[in-house]
Amino acid sequence: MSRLGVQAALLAAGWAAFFWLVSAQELWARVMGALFPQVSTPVYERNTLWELTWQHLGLTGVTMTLVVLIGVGLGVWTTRAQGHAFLPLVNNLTTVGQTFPPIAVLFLALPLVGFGATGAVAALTLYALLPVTRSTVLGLQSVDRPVLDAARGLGLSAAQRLWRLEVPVALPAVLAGIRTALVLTIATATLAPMVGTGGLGVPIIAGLGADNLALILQGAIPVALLALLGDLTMRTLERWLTPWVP
Amino acid sequence: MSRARPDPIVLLGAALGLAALALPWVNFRENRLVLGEGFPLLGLPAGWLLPALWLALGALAWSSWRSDARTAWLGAVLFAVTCAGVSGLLGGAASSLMLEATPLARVSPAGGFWLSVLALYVAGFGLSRWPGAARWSGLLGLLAFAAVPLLGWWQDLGLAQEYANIAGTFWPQLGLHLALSLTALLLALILGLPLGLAAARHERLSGTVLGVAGFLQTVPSVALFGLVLPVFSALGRDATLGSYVGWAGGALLLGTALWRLFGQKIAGLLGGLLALLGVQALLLLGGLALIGMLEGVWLGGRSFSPEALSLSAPLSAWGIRGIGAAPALLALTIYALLPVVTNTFVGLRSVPPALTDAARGLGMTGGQILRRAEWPIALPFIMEGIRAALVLTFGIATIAPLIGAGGLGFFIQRGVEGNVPDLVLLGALPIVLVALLLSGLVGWLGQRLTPPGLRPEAAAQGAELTEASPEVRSVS
Repeated sequence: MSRLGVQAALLAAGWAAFFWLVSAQELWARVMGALFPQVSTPVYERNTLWELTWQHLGLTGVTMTLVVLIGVGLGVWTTRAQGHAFLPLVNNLTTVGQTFPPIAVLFLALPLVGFGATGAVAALTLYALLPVTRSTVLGLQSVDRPVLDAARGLGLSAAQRLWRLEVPVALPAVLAGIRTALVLTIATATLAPMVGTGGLGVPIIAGLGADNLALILQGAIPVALLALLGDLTMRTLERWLTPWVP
Repeated sequence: MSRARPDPIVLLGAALGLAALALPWVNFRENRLVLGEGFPLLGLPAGWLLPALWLALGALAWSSWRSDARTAWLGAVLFAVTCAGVSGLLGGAASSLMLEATPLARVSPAGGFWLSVLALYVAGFGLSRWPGAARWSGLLGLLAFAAVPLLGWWQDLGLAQEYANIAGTFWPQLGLHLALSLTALLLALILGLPLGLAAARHERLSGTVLGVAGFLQTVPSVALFGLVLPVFSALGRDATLGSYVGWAGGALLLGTALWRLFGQKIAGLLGGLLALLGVQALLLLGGLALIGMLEGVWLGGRSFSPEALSLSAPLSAWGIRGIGAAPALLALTIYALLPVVTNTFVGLRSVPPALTDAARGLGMTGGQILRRAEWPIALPFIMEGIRAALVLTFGIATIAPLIGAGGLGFFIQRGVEGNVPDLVLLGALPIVLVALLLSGLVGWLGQRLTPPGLRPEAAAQGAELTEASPEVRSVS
């Protein structure tokens, strides 16, 4: 098996182990009960860990779908002739915007959109857009001018130039941007319960409020694993889609 | 004079500004318990002023005579007036709505206002690319916008009323927020700079060091806070100050001895790491003492008692407990590590080998080469790492109050729990503003610390000129 195959197999095993872990509610109750005997509720009881995980995955999934569609679209549009006039603005907004702390952005959206999932998705999307748009623009701009001219000289249309030339060159940067956005979204979504949604942050925040270490760990361990698995999945995907990158 | 094209960015700003009028401008709530009611700007006194200003700005951006010096002036002044208009109409709306309301009522900025702020940013960015006086429109606009609250015309806004309630604790919490993130940065530098140096010197180490730092960075911040909590909880309960200092000091001594004995061999490097961790543990204690002292002085909480200095006192007396500044400080340090290590590594790797060879040829020792040849070249990269680390820790310190440490997140947390959106803003807005300020400050410092011969300014200016050339052509 190739190195990529081994990596993919390990990754699949990692995801399987992760889903087994979050489905094993009984095991959590027993282990946490043994570790923290003084705690009366060793597991979060209002939702199962399985439900919380899927809430988290749902929040992340919706956000990332929006982010990839809008971010890549915006990046492609501003590097075409039609949108070129807005390139400096987009560059400026994505650079300045990334200085905003993501957690503060999440809470800034609260007075704006109000409590609930819509506000959380809006804030997460707005922030995660920045690295994706930025890396798409940088990736597309890294195509050498003479190469583009040569392609035009060969009679390739604008769409052909984009698909055959610019996309392959930009792909590593775009995927890296999406990876950054994914890890960021998984992490920031952990705080989303504070603005009125669910997810793996729910037991953490409940545990912090009640000084209950068992609850904190019940949320913190799965969410840390989720972030690491998300990062590794994107890295494997990068290697699979862009095998020419060393 | 040739015709200049309409400026699409300023036009976009004006269009956003006009679109914002369709959204509620402010939100009015009788008290904390009822749902708010949105008021559009056009129904409020003098509300027509803003669309008029946006239309004028749009017309100016559409027109063909912008190369004129007078047009540039007109654009800058018009923009400043629009900024003052947005800011003033927010205060005005609050004042007019509060006339007949009880003191419990709150007026908060709503979607229309926030979209207008974005519109102002876009228009200001577009205008500042015009030649002549318009270059100053960004600064002018910012001053005009800020003048309104500074003159006290936002006094009827919920934001000002909530600020009046917490005025005594706002600045201390900001101070604690800064103290927490700066201490974490310092700790990260003391550990990260040598780690980056070691990674740059030893090819085999670089993968491990960068990999571990990246791995730690991937763990979500709240989860990391949660994971370090049990450690400190156990430490605070079971360890005494004497045993903690003993272990840390022992690690420092043993590590230094190993480092002296084995030098650059693997045992020596591990010794160096051990010594660094010992120093970290001791500095963590010092940082906690500092933060605890500040908290006592500023917020009048528990002050530092002399009993904590006794070697047999439990660590919890020193402030090391599951909840509090200790886990926050450690988690923030771990987060700040990656940018520092990576940038030190990249900076040192970017030194041309010919340069170090030449320095060696001149008879410089290893230390001299590092200080005089490599350090100046790596410094801009390291400063960029410090900038990133500072912005990162300052942002993540927002959630420190969740685990019982201080900081501006305290107001966010209270606002979320009590359903007071203005209080949330009062915590979140300063965090964003100070983060931008710190980023600018460290960035500027980085530029100043770069030796003149290495500054990319000349090159950047050249690039700007070429980028601006179509503009120049259309103007002339």
